Amino acid sequence: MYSLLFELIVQVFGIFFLLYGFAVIMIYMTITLLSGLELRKQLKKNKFVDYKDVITTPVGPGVSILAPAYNEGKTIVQNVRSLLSLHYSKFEVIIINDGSKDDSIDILIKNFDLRKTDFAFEASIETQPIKGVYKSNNPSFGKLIVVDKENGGKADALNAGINISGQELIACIDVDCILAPDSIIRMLRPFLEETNKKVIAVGGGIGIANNCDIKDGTVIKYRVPDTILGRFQVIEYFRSFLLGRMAWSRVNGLLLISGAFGFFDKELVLKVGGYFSKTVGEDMELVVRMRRYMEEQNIPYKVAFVSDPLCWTEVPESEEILSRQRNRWMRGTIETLQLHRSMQFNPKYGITGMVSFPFWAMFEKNAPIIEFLGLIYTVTLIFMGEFSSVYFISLFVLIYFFSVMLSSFSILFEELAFNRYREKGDLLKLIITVLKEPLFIHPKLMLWCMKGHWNFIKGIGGWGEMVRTGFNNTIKKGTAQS
Amino acid sequence: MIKKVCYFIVFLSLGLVNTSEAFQEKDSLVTTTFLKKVGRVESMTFKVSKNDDQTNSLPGEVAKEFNDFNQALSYRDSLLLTGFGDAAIKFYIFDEEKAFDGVKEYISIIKTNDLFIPETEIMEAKNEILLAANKLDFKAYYTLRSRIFNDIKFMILMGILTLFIITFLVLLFFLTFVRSKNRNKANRIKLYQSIVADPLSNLLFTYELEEIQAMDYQQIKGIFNTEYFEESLFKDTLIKEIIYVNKNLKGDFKDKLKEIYLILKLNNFSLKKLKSKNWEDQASGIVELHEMNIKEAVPQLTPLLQSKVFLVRTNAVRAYLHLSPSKDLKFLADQDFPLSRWQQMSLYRVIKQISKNEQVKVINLLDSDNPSIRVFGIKLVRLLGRMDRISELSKMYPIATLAEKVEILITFKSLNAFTELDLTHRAFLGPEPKLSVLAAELMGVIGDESSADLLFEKLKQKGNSFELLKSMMVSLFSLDKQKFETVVEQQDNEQLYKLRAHIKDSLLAYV
Repeated sequence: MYSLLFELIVQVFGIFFLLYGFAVIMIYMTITLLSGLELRKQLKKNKFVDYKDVITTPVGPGVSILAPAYNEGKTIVQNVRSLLSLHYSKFEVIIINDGSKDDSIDILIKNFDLRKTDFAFEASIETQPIKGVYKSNNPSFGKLIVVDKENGGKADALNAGINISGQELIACIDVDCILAPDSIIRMLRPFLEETNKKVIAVGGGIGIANNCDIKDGTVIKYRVPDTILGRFQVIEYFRSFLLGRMAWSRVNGLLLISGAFGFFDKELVLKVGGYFSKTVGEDMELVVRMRRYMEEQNIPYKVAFVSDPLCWTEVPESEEILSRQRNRWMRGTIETLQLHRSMQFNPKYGITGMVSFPFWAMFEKNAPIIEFLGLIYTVTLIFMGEFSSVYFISLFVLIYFFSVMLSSFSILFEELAFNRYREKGDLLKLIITVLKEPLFIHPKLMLWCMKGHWNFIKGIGGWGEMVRTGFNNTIKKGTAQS
Repeated sequence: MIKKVCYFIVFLSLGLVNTSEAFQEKDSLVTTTFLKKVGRVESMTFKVSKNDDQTNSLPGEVAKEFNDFNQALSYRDSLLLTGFGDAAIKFYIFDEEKAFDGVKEYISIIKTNDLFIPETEIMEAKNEILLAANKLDFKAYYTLRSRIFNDIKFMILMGILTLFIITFLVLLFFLTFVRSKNRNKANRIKLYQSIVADPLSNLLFTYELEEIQAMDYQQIKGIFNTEYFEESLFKDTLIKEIIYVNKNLKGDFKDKLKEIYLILKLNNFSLKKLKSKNWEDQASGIVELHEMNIKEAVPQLTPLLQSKVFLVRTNAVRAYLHLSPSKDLKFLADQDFPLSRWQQMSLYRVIKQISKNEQVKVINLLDSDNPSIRVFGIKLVRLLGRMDRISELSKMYPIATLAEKVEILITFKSLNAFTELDLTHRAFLGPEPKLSVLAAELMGVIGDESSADLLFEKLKQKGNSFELLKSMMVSLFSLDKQKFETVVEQQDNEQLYKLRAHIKDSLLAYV
């Protein structure tokens, strides 16, 4: 009796893995196709726009750039100067010092000639107490506002910035990111182009700055990173931004806008209550909540994505830091999906509820668990004597090549669209990374994500420490918020 | 074969068995053949004994019982040869003696019920399988191969895998190809740019406009002196270079560049693009004609004004505005498609340029049936400083949409429309919060004592939003500082205290 039941369970699992694998292949192939179409469309459109024409326009909307900073004292001056030099006529830069333990605020006061003001604002979103709002005596820094507050985490700092901001749109960025000079106007375009739907948020393409040469806040020479983990993340970012987000943006199903670089409609952000400070996945959670609100109000809307690489960030190249980052990302995803689980397979939420949400639940959140179960299943088959080595090897090779093929597509898209890595040998290095990734890096990623699941279950939270090596061989250390 | 066996048996019985007595009825050909064929039967035995049916008549050491008929037969024959002439074989089923017919019947029953298969038949079947097997072309890996080719699931798997591998290889090839193609194209463009640069600057800086005008196609082509002249990429590069220089130079140089463009018949190349089915070609043709100020292109541009492709339409409208002799904006007012803010930004640049020399008829936009065009019209009144259209805006306010009302109030503020104070007061007291905020701000610019009173009274009321409070306080501060202080002191509202401090802080003047 038990033997029969066990056999049945094994059979059911077998069918499940088969269907899951089939679904993965089909979905990712569809994503590749859609992203190809969307990328083509965006590149064609870009040919006919002279962004210089609109930089000084009086008709454009105002933008508040919100950059939370925690213990960024060593690099903050350079970063703020870089932000203030962005090319657009109507913007303000709000730096939120989130209770840094270093001398960030003193450095800012000294370097930008700041004075504490009587800035009156409405605390529409509850945050940790604000110690002071600073403005510069120097008119050259007239666009700068510095908010000094008690530590409350990235989401809390952003909420404080939203309360202070006085423009129509808010741009939430990581203070240590490098933005392209014309990034604001490029990100504004989807907001301004749409006439039938309200554009509620726009995400931007992010590039990896490790090993690149940077001058005056701009990447002038692109090189692939030296380490395998760095190179893997280059490929991963290609896949994520040039395949995933492009495709989801085409079907208006984008759920995630990177916390490092995203533009939002301020009025709507306030309506939905700002960032949720109790999750580490605040970027995704905000987008899901905004979409939810729009669906419930039955207002036509769009979350857009700009593929142009407009923001450059340093990625961790040590396993320890990368594992913590992936652990956090997984917890953020789980928390968001748990918070809004009523949207899943709910036709009331349109494509968000019926497609995007189930996709995230099944292929992002649960993928590590399913892969782990697959491992257990294989071991069980070996013990039962039902293991077919021919099938195992064939399936393994199949999935390996599928993964290699997807990554190759992402490199191709990058090559066609931007062609940033032009150094001799860069392409070869990337292809070698693509071939190595499924065997040597993916298993580790799955393990770190499984740990994220475990930490979520155990209620272990926090951001962990992010140690940066600094752009252009300049030593720069910062610590992410705790 | 059977015949041979029969003859042989007959021969043996006649030749080797010396007496006729030795042959018994049980030795008949039918009996022996049948029983030999049957072989061993589990429940049947054969006893060799005396022929007169007396059991155990043979001496005890001689009589024997057998399970196999052949053995019994051999034994009986050996007894006959040794002198026991009456030795005979008897048949027993379950230890009960039976006649040959009874044996036959029993065998038939157990065969029918599949309880017994004669050994000879088993042997025959085995021989048939062996014969069939011998015909097969046996190979050592037979099992694996048959498994691969007979398993449809495995075949599908292998098919998909092959597809992935092929796709990966094709991708690799394509990547290399694209990389090399891009590099080649970039190198060619670089080469063409280097070819174009010197002759172009030579033409611009050495020759006068009249001299260029006097030249013909061949002469200018001769200056460029290149065999690439007929190539599309060369023409495109040349046009781009001309446009680039045209954007950065002024006056006489612009005229020279236009002459070069026309003499080289590059305008025909650009016009040809307008007829293309590819929207990219259409858009690039429009941009080229626009940048080179080719007014003759207006008729060809007209059908593209209502193009379904956003970029073609946007560029066509821009180009038409710039090139068309008529500046009444009527064609824009007649647009069916909603005008996006991006388009408005782009059109404003062109209109701003035009309005430096001649007045555009913004009024036509205000009368448009398209709400987005009307909004753009209101914005233009503001951006172009058209004070003469304030009364028009005032007239359209009561029937305007919310978006239009917002723009009208912003425009009144921007143009210091002192005549519109009553309208502003009405908007301030109206039910729409957004308009109240804008009207409060406007009152700070165009307001009078009555406005200050209105603000003062409203500030005393509860339930005002922070945004409205701020705009009212800012306006009241500019209209009547005493009332401003009074209302803060009277109301004892924390928000008002904060706003007062904010407004008085010089660093926050524009925040």
